[in-house]
Amino acid sequence: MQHSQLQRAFILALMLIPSLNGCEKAAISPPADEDAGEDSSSTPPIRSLQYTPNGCAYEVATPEVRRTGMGQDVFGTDRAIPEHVHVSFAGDATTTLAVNWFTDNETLATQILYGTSREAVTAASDATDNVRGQSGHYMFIANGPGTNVDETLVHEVHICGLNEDTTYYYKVGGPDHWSEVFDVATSPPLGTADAWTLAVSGDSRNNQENAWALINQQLASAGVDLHVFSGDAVFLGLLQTNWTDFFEARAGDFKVQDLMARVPFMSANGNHEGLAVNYVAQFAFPQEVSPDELAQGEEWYSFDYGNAHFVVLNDSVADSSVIAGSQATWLRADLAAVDRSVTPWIIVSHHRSFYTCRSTHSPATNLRTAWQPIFDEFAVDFVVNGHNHVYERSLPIRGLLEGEGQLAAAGPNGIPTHEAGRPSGTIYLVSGGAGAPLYDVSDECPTTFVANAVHHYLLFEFEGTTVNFRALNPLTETVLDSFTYTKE
Amino acid sequence: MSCLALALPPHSADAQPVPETGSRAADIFEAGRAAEEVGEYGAAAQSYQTLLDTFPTSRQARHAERRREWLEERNDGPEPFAHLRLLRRARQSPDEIDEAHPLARLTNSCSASRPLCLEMRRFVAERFLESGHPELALSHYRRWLSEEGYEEAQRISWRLGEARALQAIARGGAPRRMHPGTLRVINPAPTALARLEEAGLAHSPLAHELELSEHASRVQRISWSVVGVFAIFCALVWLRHPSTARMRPREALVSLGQSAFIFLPATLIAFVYDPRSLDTMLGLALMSLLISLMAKLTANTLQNRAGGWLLGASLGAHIAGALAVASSNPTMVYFLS
Repeated sequence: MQHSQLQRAFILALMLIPSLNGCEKAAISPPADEDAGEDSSSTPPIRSLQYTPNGCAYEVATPEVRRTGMGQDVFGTDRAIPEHVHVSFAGDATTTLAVNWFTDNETLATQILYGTSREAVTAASDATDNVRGQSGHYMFIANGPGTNVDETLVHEVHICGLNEDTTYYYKVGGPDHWSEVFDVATSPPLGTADAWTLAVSGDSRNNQENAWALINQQLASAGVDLHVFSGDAVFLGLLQTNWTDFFEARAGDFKVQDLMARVPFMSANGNHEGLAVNYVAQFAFPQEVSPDELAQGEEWYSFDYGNAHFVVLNDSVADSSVIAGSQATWLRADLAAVDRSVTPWIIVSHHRSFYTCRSTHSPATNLRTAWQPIFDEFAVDFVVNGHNHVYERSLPIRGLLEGEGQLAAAGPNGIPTHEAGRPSGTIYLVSGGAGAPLYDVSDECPTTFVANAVHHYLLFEFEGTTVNFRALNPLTETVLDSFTYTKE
Repeated sequence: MSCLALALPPHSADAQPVPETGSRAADIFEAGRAAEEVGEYGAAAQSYQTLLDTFPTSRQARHAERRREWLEERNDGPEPFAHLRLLRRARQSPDEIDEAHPLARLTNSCSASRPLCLEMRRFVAERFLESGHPELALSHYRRWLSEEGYEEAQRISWRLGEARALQAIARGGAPRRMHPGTLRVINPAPTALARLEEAGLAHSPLAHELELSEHASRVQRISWSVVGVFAIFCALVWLRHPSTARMRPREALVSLGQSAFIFLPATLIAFVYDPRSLDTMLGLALMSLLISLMAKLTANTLQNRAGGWLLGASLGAHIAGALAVASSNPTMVYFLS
């Protein structure tokens, strides 16, 4: 009897272990709370907010955070000047931009001043004829799991009605507390034949060798237009200190913000973000909510940039049936709607790779079964993943036989060939080398063309139907892999 | 005041028509990039300046500005861009080590405040490491570390390099590997930790990660040992009294129920908050079931003699089993640490 009582007590103690994992899962927000932002009690209720930014054709919803509200001209004295400024797209990439940043917990000001003249924006203290203004919202998020932890204040603003292919200058904050002036450009016209450059990286957590800072520094000077990230920015998405390390990495005078405030950063959810509220609140992505989708519709999304269509999927889902279910349904509908005469390139990003060779994580065969037939049907050009902290490029792959990918015809240097204007296969890239501890990898699998355990990032220079691809080592700035591929 | 201004519609700043600049600006920018590709850095800088003067609001203008600044910061050497050309040639050279030596000599005299100097140093050290010359990399890292005027971040970077060079030397030289540039989470961790400590990196994130990994592995070893000792003890008891080593189905069902009691709520919590922990929860439940069954069978075998000892041993095995499973989950290790 005594034994079983003690055993029960032990069982109860065991049950406490999972509560240590108390993730604050982001969920679709309820309608705006009129009191949002007014509650200052020590354990405030979770709040969320919905509104349509001035001039925008889309609605913005916040995750469930401790407190939220629209910006006010209130300033703290500690770190009232915005930091961790970063930019992304939450709407049409040719006409909209979203900016997020961090301040001390007293600074509620959430404004942006922007225009096409650096001098005018620099001089402006308020909106003028040449400088436009927009207000956004702030969110208090917990610094970690639990209710008795400190909180961090982050801000978000959306601007719409911009001109395509245009450089804008902007600063964020509020009167007398502005950030430095940053430049950012909208997407070139959809279907453009002009050159533009995409950067891809993933798995920056731990920032070993200072690779994350070096990659950002090199991208900043490389003339990159868009940065797609395949997930695992931090070790644990719930810990705000991890995000601080992510945003504050630096190489000499260069701060990560120097790139992230200038080049739109579009991320996939990795298993280390775990769709934590800290991740969802600090980044603004398209919010078209589809069935079963969490994070206000930011769990998976798509957008067009230049002459490419991007699809960002979530493979670290709360409910595994979503992979082959509602997410696959959404993916098929999204790709079916793509006009290849406008966006001939289709690039998909998600975190876990399903073509990877003898590395730490085995190929995610459940994803392969669920998604590859759709990639095949719509002739996706590139799939970029991370999860294994290595660089890998597959040969063109098309079709599954008993769950195994079938090699498609390959031209010189492993690029797809064409038959009746259709590429022979999809190239799968693993790019998990932005600072996480490197893993071993092999190039001996039949689907593998190149494999290398090295910190790296990818550059795709698109010009019409040609892409020049390079994988680069940020420590030596040498080319690890390259190819030129022209679609017929 | 600012709120009034913010209420204005967002378009008027952009009301003026935007000229058809795309293709021309793109052409000039591409000309600059093409010049850089062949090492004509002066011509490239000129192209970028032309673009800035002609199409200042184009998308390419900001890239041109960045490239021009980048080139200006790297205009080092006896002739314009001489050192940049040297580095370019070394980067493109398949003969890695020979091209690194002239650069290595330059890195000893260049000013650490110049970005190109830092880039040459990074390149040289990496090439020495990649090509199996860690002792050369080590001597360079140590020379650079002895200089003054570095930012702390740069110093940390050199120290990390020093640790990698030491590690490569400790492996008995660095044979040419398939994966150049790899900084593996080195096994065994204590060796790597000692090297990091030697390099003044005892408090670095890498050292912390290795410490956690080593700690978790130690906990696992001890925990599995405790579970193993308990299993051996139970087996010895059963072998000694085989005639009484029996369990009624009802007792087995009770143990199964207890494990389900752990597994179901824990699974529910994991399902809601962290699906990645499901396998850990299953492991905890199975471990609890096995230990409960062993303890119950042993208690029956001993016919309730030595109940107190058995209770203590069973509890210890439960705790050890739970720690063994939990310490295999990195998220739990992170939290429990």
